[in-house]
Amino acid sequence: MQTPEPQQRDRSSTATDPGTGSGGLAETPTPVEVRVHADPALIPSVRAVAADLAARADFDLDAVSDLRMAVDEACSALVPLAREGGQLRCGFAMSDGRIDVICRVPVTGDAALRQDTFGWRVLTTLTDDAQVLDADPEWLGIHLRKQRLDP
Amino acid sequence: MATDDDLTAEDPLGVDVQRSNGASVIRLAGEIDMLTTPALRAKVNEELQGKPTVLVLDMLSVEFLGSSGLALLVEALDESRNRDVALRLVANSRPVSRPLQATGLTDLFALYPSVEAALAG
Repeated sequence: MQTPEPQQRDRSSTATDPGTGSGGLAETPTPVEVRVHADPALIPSVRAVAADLAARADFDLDAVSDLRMAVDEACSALVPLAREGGQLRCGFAMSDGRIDVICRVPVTGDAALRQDTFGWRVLTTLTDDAQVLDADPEWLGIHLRKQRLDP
Repeated sequence: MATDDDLTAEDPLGVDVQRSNGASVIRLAGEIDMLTTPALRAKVNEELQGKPTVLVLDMLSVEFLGSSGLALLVEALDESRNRDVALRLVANSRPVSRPLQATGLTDLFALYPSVEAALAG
């Protein structure tokens, strides 16, 4: 397995400005990305990856739990909106004591993410920042940020 | 269609109901999320309709509680009050206590450390 060069690792910090690259939201480079069929049965695997990355980045156990829940919520909101046969893609970037997560699915024109739901309120409560990414007409996403609480 | 494989496959959420002396205990094991909440909702509603004096949700073996599960708990609490059923949760570990705490729901529920304590009130 090839070890990334340090300068490649540094690019993770720029990947937190999603959806602005030439590839649109679909291709948002992050150090870790999970791609699964947009199927509710696969969300447990995605949230497990989120929790594992947070634990390895020295997040405390409550913050690990929060991120697992937030990613679950983001995926649960997006998967029902995905185009038939589409992929759920979740990218993770760890930097400066925080984790940025960019989850997205391919959508057809009229798909919109409701932000007046209990689930969205939970998601914003559990994270330091949560944004809907709807600039790309082909993809709909959610960008989450969770900060590590350092003592 | 059910096959032998389905019976042996591990369900993401195990739900086991026991009734005695007017009390119902639903023991849950596994993950409460978008996938498993609908079946659990049906089970909880079924027990509430039986109007037990106490409905205990034993969540000691729950490994994940997502927002759909939290929403279900809030619904069950409303419904239990309508039906004059005492809803009690058994939970003492992070997978359940943290989601309740982080969303400010802890104080809404009667929480107990064990099923025995919950049944005793």
